Amino acid sequence: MTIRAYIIILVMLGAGTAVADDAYQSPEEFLHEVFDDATPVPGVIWLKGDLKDTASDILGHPYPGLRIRYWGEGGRTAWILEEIGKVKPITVGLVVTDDGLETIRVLAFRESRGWEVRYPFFTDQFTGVGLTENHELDQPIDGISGATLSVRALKKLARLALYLHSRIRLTDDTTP
Amino acid sequence: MTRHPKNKSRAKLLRSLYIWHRYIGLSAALFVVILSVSGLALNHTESLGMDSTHVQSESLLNWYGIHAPDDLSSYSADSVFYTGINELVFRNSRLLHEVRAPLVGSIAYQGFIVIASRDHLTLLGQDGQLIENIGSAGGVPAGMKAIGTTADGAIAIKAAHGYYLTDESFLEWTETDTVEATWSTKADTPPALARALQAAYRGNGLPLERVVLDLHSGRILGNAGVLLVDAATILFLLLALSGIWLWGKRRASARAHRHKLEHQK
Repeated sequence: MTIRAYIIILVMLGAGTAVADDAYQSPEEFLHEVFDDATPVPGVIWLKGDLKDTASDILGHPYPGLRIRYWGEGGRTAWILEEIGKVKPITVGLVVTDDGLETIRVLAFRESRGWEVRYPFFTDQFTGVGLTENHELDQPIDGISGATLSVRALKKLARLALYLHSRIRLTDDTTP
Repeated sequence: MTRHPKNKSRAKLLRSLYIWHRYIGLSAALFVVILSVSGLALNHTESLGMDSTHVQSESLLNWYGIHAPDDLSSYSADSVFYTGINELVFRNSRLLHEVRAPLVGSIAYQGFIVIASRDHLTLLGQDGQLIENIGSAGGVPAGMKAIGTTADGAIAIKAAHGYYLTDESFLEWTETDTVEATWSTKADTPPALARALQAAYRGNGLPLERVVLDLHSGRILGNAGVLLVDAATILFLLLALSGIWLWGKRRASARAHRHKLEHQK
């Protein structure tokens, strides 16, 4: 087998992995489930000023965009957010109420390791978790051996969704 | 005094094994260095940034057969070219990590640049700064085929299941039977940009981690390299076994010599 044949196989394997992109639930299905098949029209929150700075502090890097879309109704907001675990983004659906995090669910996981974060034994720990004044989670979350980066990514997204929810509840003025 | 023939042949065997041990050690030395250094590096892939560093060596890229297509076509908006090459999308010759291939069009619209790929719309500022990536959850129709603008200033999308209209907020989408729009179309990529794009594509095609991993496993030389590393592994085993055997023999002989001396006393 020549090196070229090997590369072709590698590319095919890569393509296979990309196609096999572990999508557990589509964002639309998640929103339909959250809002009982009546998904509201989304809103957007612009990241500017202190909101942008705090989002960067929470993520440990600037958010890759200037605005974030959310779906809100009756004091609940739903978010579809992405954060890179090691090299590829993990897509997460989150629902937040004024009492804390209602749901966190991994919708798509593209990394080769750390997929255990999608299981309820891990995500159930987030139910009812809120945010401290320092924008940290107010309850400890037990990690998973071998999934440190994925656990960290989910904790960051939980903090970000809780923070953005609190900002939306403070003001309705989210247009630029 | 003459040596007993059995002892003589044992000494000969021992000397021969010493020589073999030395030659095996010398042959394995290069592999030990390569496997140790590459193994150490692979253990620290992330901290060394090997997964995000890409090989720029022309000869290595040629060796791996990484070539950009010769014929490139791009979409343009506001005098900037957006080009998809396989899985990568470029703004002029800069890689846009946030845009997903394949591209179906790009338009300049109310201060934004809107790039349409099959299932996503990406909004960029005039300077290329990402504003938002909108997917199916944001109402973007699946299987987009073209993007354009209507005479009354709406964004038109031609998708797998029909035509859709939206406005600058991208919050609500209206399905329609047909639409009159000016569609974004592909244009020839200017030759100078095409050359820069081909270089940029090749420069983003081969992570350093891949090369070090292939060096470690021998795959960098194809199947022959794997067999070579297999052979080196067998040499390591022989080295370990002959080393242990020689050490045991030497120890036994030293013990026998000590006993002999004690008896003579």
